[in-house]
Amino acid sequence: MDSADNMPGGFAGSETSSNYDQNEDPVLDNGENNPDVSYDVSETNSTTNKNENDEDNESNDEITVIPDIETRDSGASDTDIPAQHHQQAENEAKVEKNANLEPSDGRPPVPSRQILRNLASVDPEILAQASIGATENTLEPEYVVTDDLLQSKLNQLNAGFNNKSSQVQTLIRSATQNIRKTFNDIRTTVGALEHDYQIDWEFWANVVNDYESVVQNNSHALHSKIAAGIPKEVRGIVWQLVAQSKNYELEEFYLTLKSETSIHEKAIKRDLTRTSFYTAVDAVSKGEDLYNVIKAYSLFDPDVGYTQGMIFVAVPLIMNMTDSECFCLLVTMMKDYRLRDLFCPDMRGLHRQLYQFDRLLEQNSPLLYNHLVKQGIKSSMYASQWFLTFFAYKFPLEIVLRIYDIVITHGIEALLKFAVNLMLQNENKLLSLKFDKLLEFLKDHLFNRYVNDEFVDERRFSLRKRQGSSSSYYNLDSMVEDAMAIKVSMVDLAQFEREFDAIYASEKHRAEEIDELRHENGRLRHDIKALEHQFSVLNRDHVDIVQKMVDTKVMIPEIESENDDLQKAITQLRADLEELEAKMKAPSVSSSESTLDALKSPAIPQNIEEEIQRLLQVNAQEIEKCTELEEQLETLTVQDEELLEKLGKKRWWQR
Amino acid sequence: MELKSYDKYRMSFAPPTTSVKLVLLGEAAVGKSSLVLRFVSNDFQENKEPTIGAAFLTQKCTIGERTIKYEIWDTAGQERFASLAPMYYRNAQAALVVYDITKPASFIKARHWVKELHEQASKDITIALVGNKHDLVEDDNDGDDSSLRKVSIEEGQKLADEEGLLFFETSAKTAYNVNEVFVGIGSKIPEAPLLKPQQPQATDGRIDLSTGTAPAADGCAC
Ligand SMILES: Nc1nc2c(ncn2[C@@H]2O[C@H](COP(=O)(O)OP(=O)(O)OP(=O)(O)O)[C@@H](O)[C@H]2O)c(=O)[nH]1
Ligand SMILES: [Mg+2]
Repeated sequence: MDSADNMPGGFAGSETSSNYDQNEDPVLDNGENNPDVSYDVSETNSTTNKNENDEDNESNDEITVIPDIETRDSGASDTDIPAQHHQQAENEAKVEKNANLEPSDGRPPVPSRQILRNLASVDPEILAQASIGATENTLEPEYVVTDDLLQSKLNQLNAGFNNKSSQVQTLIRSATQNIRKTFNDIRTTVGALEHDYQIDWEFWANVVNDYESVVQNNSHALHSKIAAGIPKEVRGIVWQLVAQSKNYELEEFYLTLKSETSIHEKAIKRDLTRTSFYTAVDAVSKGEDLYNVIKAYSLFDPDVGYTQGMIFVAVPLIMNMTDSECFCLLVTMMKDYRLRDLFCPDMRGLHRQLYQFDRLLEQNSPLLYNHLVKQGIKSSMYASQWFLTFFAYKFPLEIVLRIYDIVITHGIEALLKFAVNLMLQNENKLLSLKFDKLLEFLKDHLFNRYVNDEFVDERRFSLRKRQGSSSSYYNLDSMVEDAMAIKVSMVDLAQFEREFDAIYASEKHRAEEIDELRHENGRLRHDIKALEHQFSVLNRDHVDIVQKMVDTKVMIPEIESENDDLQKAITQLRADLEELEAKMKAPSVSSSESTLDALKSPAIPQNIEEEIQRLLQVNAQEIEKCTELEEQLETLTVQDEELLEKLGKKRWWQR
Repeated sequence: MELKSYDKYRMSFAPPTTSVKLVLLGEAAVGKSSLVLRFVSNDFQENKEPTIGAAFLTQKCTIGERTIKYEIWDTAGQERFASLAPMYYRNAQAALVVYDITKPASFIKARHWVKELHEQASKDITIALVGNKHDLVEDDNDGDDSSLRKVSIEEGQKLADEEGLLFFETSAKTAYNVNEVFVGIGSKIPEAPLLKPQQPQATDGRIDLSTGTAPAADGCAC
């Protein structure tokens, strides 16, 4: 079949994420999504232990166990499930050794690789299932495509089976044998009981024993029997046989995964009781099984991990088989039914299916299609949950089981038939509604069309009402019949898918460009912010400087006048100095004392002045006294003369 | 005459109903759908199913004289659905960014949503930050270690202040503060938003270089 078969060395698992994540390095992407995932190497080893050493494959092991970005890019590794892989499965010691060596090459352990390596050592085919290289190849299917979805699905599943190694084929065959035995057991026990309805045991035995020949030779009956619903007693058995899912090795692996811890545990636990079916599951004590299956899958396929739709998808399975069988069928559906595309991180499969739905709706009812477009309603707004949960989200289990009968035998493309049919059945109503009401109707009331007449007056949907009644609330037969009547051509679907791929690629490209521009824009905005900051800092500095300049200008005159004063003082001092120098040259003329005085005088000029003043004052006082005395003397002289005149006679001797 | 009767006719109209597109964002299981269920149907479900894709609901709300018709998109919280979110918030006029006050990781996620909205949503979008499940911490002693509360009211308020958001702590279970969120949003929505054509992203966070003046710090642009 594809590319891969004879390529040694590639590691199928390494492509897991890149198939879905076209534009990003799967390793990085994976790291981002599951930052905490790390798988204990020792656990890995424990699962490898059951294999046997095989010297011949040594060299291949080396390559396989160090799967890498390099090999991936070479293209050789792509969807590669080499025959050697298969033998390697027996090569335990080597794998283990290499697994231990790997960290030493400096590469951090990549969770998806790790777990997938784990798988490889269990069974490379299982690993192939996880890798689901199918996506790359579906456009050129290697099986015969007919417009009969059931036939196409069988061809595809057979092609897949033939591509499996003979060892895995043997494993699946023996599991199938076992299922047949179970069928016969059920047939003997249940068949013996009285029933209010008839099971065509003969027919279902044929289906179980040789599905392919029933498809080839009795296609008409098969279609109508399946459309009428696979009897619930053998439903799980038929599903597993048709899907060729049961595989002991995978079941065993499930048992080991079951005991490991997943980073998604919390989220799964949180959502488990939040699904509308949980009460039904719990009623048959399958709650823990359901939890284990989902958890194990999240470990098995860490790139997909856990998505909220998964529980819904797994419920109908767990209700009809054991947990390990349920795990096998879930894995098969993920891979061979491309369910994985729906749940992978970019949900490409969902978008593809929505696109196909749009195109089919447009083909079948251009009027309705246009009405929805005009109302601004995109299919993703209401149909995402149909495809992600196989209609299990809002609609009751009885409907979902019937849908599963079709999906398992026809492939998930059949969901498109149900979806388109529901739209067409409600066409007139939908055409009469506007945005709000239209959305509401699309979400909750599409199945009203199939409520049995006897319930018609209580068309308001309520689980409780239904449960009380023995006859079916919905006319499921006509729902399935109508849906099957919708023509969905595989050729058209392939064409739509090509269109979608082109659109998706260009959109992704554009989104990347936009992202890049946004990134650039963010960077520039950042730069601008930084520049603005710088600018405002500079501006502040500028203002500061201007302020300082103004201050300085104010200070200049002050300083100038101060300067003037100092200048004057200097001049004065100079003059003083000169004077002193002149005085110092004079001493030769005067006496020694006066020289001394002259020398002293600069030191005590004020004292001298004071002294002079004082002396002058003293002098003045003296002069005054002197004058006074002179005046007194004069007066006395006058008095004396007067007295003399009076005493002239007496003083005879003077005469 | 004609005019008069026409006037009368016109005055008999109640103030027009403003339609407000509102989107809820936040980590899985924080209670987005429960808040909407409480607001729209005054109901609560202990085990509300996870939202797959998104759900659309409408509800009218009267604030004073005005009637606001909320057109609500309740999105799925799981990371994987995040790529679908832009379709719902792109034209939204209001957003509730919800976290669970008992789950610190949900608060970190709320930060991311706020950032993404600032970057990608319409520039005038009114955002309310909502810390839900208040009922779980009602009897708790804040600050005591056994408290279920893992995100303090201050942390929430701080983020709201920094980013210019309304802030509420609510309980969809007890209905505590739920209506207040929608009333709060409604009072911040301009009277007739239709008159002002929206240009999502067109001028978003850009700086007009021609004016030469730096805009005042307008939220976090990058
Ligand atoms: N105690 C309490 N539980 C709440 C409250 N709000 C919601 N819950 C519960 O929390 C769980 C999640 O609520 P949802 O409303 O489905 O959360 P969501 O955010 O819509 O989740 P997604 O749709 O998965 O994104 C449910 O089991 C609710 O019953 C609350 O205020 N208090
Ligand atoms: Mg929800």
